[in-house]
Amino acid sequence: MELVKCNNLCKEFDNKQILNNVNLTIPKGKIIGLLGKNGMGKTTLLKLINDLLTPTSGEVLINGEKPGINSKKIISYLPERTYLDKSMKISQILIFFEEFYEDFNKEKAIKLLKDLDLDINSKVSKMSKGMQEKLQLILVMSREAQLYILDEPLGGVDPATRDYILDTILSNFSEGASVIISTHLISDIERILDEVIFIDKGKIILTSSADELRTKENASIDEIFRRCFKC
Amino acid sequence: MLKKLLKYDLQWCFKPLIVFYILGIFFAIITRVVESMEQSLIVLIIDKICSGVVIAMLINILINCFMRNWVRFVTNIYKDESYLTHTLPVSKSELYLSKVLTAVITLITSFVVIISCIAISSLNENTWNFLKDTLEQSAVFCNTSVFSIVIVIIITVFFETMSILMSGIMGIIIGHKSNNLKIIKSIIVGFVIYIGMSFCALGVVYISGLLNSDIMSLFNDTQSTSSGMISASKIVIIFYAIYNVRNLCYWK
Amino acid sequence: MDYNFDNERPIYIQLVEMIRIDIVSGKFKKGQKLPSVRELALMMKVNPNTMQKALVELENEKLIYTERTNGKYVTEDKELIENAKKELAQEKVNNYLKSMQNIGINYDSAIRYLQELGGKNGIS
Repeated sequence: MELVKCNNLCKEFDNKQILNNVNLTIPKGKIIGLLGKNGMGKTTLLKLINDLLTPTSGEVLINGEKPGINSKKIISYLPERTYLDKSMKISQILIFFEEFYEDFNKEKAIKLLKDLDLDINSKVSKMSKGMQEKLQLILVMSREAQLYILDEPLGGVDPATRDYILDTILSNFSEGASVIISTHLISDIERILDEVIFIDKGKIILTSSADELRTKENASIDEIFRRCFKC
Repeated sequence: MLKKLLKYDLQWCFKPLIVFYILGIFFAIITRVVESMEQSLIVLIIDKICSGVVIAMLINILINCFMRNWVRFVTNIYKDESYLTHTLPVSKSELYLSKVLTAVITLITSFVVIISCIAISSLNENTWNFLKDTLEQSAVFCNTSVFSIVIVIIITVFFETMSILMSGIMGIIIGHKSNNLKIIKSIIVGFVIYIGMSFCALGVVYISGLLNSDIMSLFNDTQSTSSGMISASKIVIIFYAIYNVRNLCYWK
Repeated sequence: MDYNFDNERPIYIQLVEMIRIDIVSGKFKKGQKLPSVRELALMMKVNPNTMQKALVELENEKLIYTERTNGKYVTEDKELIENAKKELAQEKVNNYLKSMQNIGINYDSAIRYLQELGGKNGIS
């Protein structure tokens, strides 16, 4: 069965069509790039899968079920915002995740935090924004989830951090799981993608295997993307 | 899961409240000690300062109790933290129930602390007798026992404050449905709901007055009758209870 | 180890080329057990699925083989590795000659350049 399936999914805000009749399947065990310019509906689509929004019409199914407690147990989501309670210490947050997520691997998180030289007893509010984002990535990747949804994980980071983030994703996603990465910075990320989805003005305009697309067009995904969305 | 949610909600709300609890009780005890000392100008000044601090702390406790609950609700349900809150594998009803239980628990604890502070700082033979006399007189006046008077007062005060808290939360929910000026709208809507609800309570009492002459006398006579008071407060309590339960249902 | 990829060509083909070079150059020795797909993927910083695809391709070329439960091994067949080496060498030489031709140097001069520079740089 498909991990995620969207059937005729539509979302409106104030009579503005954000997502328009999206039909999509996310298979198991793939790394998928959700590629599109800013404001084209990437985040909205991911929020719908995460049950943070409800569709205007159509449906999202995760393992054949509407989003809910069961889907939240198997999806590990990294939003664009920093969503941690800043008054908590890192150690408290680790306990929080351990208590709420059965698949959270605390030892792994502690090891990854050690690699970053982060003191577990420091408060989130004392950390820089970049560090908070890394902490969040570690928390998300330390879950042994079936689906990882990463919304713009590379937004505005320096090249060293970008390498760190890609490494962390690649070395930590659990075997057989799928990863959806949304981004508009394609060249940085395209070598790790199995499949690509192009989204524009709320519509899916292309889904393909990354290598097939390269062979067919004889160009990089980044180049193809630029051709598609020439201003 | 409800237990875990409740644990974190309570932790967050109680964190600053506990400081005020401790300060309040501490100064209440000092006031008590100072009052028992020999009278002199300095003692008198210290006494005044301390009782001032106690009163400030009590107001602080009450305001903070409301504010912590409201701020927790906004940050947890609507601000950045909501990304985490709403992706936890818990049901929506558990999420909201935890917030309501937190409100109830913090409110009750705060009241207990406030009453103890008052008791510690100013309960002596005179005030105790005065309180007893007042309660006994009203009991006679209302044609009921002291015990039921106290119970009615406690329940009414509890439901009244609870409905202030709930009105605030309702205001937040409705205010955050719009796209801009969320906080201002929340405050206005919450205030309007509270005022509207108070008038509704009055209305309900009046309508039941049409059926019950005892209650009606509250509106007509300058000297209200005793049993009317009791019946009216019973109705108000029932109304508030229904109102709070209805709020809960609305969230789901 | 640093692996640079050219985003314009399928990643798995580039992986096949890289691993093939690693085999003919002897970095992965004859009959040696290969790291797991996941480890290899991490080493080269690519998606495990892409690595899997590359290994299947190499298996089709018989340069590696799978022992059912134990994982993947480099072939024991010396001749096969030699052939692969020869093919690679031919390709490189062709490329060299072609680019010399492009700058107007004929075959004989190209050979001379090779001998001169090769000797100077101590490459025999």
